[in-house]
Amino acid sequence: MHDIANEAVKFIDLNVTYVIFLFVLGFIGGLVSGFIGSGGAFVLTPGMMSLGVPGTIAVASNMCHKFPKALVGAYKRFKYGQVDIKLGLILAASAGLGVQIGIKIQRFILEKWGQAGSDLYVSVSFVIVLIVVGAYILLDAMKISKSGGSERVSLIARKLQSINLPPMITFKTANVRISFWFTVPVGFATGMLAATIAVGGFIGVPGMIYMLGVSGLVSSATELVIAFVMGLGGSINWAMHGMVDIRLVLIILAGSLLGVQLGAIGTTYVKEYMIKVVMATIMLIVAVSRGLAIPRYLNQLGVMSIGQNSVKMLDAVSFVSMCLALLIGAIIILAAMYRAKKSAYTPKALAEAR
Amino acid sequence: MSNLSGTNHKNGLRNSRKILVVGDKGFFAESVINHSIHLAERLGYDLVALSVDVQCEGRAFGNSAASTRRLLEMADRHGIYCSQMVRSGDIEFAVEDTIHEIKRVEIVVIESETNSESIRNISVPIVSVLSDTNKKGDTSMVASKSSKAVVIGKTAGYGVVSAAFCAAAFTHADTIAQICSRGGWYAAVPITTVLVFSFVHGAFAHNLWSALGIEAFKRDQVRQTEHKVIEKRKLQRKRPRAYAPVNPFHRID
Repeated sequence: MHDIANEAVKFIDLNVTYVIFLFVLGFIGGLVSGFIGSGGAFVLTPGMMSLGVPGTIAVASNMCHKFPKALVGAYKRFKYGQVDIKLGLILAASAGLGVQIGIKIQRFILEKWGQAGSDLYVSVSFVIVLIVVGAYILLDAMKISKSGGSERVSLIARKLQSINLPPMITFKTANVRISFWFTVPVGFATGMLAATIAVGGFIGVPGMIYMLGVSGLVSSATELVIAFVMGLGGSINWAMHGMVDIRLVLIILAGSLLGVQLGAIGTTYVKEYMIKVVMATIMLIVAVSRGLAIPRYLNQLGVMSIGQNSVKMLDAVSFVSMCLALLIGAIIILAAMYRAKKSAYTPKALAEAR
Repeated sequence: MSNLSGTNHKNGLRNSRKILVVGDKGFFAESVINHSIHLAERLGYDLVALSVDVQCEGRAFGNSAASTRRLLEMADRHGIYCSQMVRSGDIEFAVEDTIHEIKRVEIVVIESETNSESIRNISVPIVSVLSDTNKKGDTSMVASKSSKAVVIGKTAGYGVVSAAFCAAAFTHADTIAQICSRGGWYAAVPITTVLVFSFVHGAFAHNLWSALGIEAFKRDQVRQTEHKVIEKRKLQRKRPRAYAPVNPFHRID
């Protein structure tokens, strides 16, 4: 345990550029997280690594920033009446199990095929999950916006809700009554994906929407509860291994706590399907970004051969497009907030109107 | 114009359609005044200002008289006929009684913060105006200025503490790095540090956005009210109506 710590404790030297970069990255990640319930984490780890932070410290510091950010975001959205705590805690329980299984699968692949194989597994998971789920969400959001902006419970969810399999649980805020057994796969998949690609919400939020029939607003808010529980557990684990660089955590938190509150406020201004639009956009761009990183791992495994320069170029494009995904998500959120605020009815001061 | 101002303060009511503006505890919020005037102008209705007050004494009376005067002045300035009434007791009964008494009330305008669920059951459509006041309904200019000052003060206060925290963490970076890297029970150090910082910086962030005027949009109250009005209308439509079939071929000699 402590051997890893002694080996990898190379906490980097920070300068002003690094600090600003991490602050801005944290802010945008927090903004997206506060709005769609997840995201930001998958950019922060590679972002830190691009500054020279060793992988394990980047992952540990990322996780240590995730749980307080999720706590603040969840608290804020709870005040707006969007969080279903009971649902969040029940899903977090099965997510915990999913995380453990996910870690075991990662270790098995690492032992069998080495680091390149592990990275390939992660990237392929990214691409498949994000393209399939992202496309589905985008199509759904486009259908809703064409039909006039009101969300409808999906057919699958309605069928599952009608099946009476005890114990049946009523989730008041989510306005859903469903068997406990149908919540287990959603939570489990969230945990597994979190252990694999560090963003469980990309399965958790769509799972709640399309399988359990929860609205986009409540599921993205409830996801923050799951993120808090998982993040706290993981952080304690990493901190006990001595992997957390508190300076990185504080800088990223400084930005993300500002962003997460702004994102949470933003959800009260926009139509509910906007959450799906932002989520789908980010997922699809990140899928492309991760897809561009796959040739490098195939090259390392000897499955295909490409030149070193091409690998470097693909890596650079992959990283830039990942940052772009977050940036585009943030721009969509801010633009939607700005438009909604402008068109909200505010009675003019009557003296001036005369 | 002067005629209108003369009759404004009497209870002279005309036989035209009216908008009933309800002042809970005798107080009319700025947003309610603005909205009522806009509505009346657009629809060409008269206004009736109903002050519902349990007691007409003490500080509450001072504020309520000022806001009523403001509504009357505004109505006068916009050429809207506005009369005034005072009722005491339960707001729902006061409003229903007034509606039956003065006839032709088409719309009732109230503040969304009105502390009465039962008022939603009255027989006339309600326009619930969102207010950006605090729960006590204190919208005086002095109060809003001082609450803004409080928010700015809190932002600065939490900001200073947050900055001091970061400065301390960075100036003692080596010591902290050493403690964090020890692992084991020392895990409590980064976890606790992060939680304390989150509390302080989170409060700073919250107050900063409030100070910049970026706050949550409270649309749930409007949605609830709209929903209740629509439900009420549906129920009213379902009520059985008397039906008298007329035989067109029946000759009345």
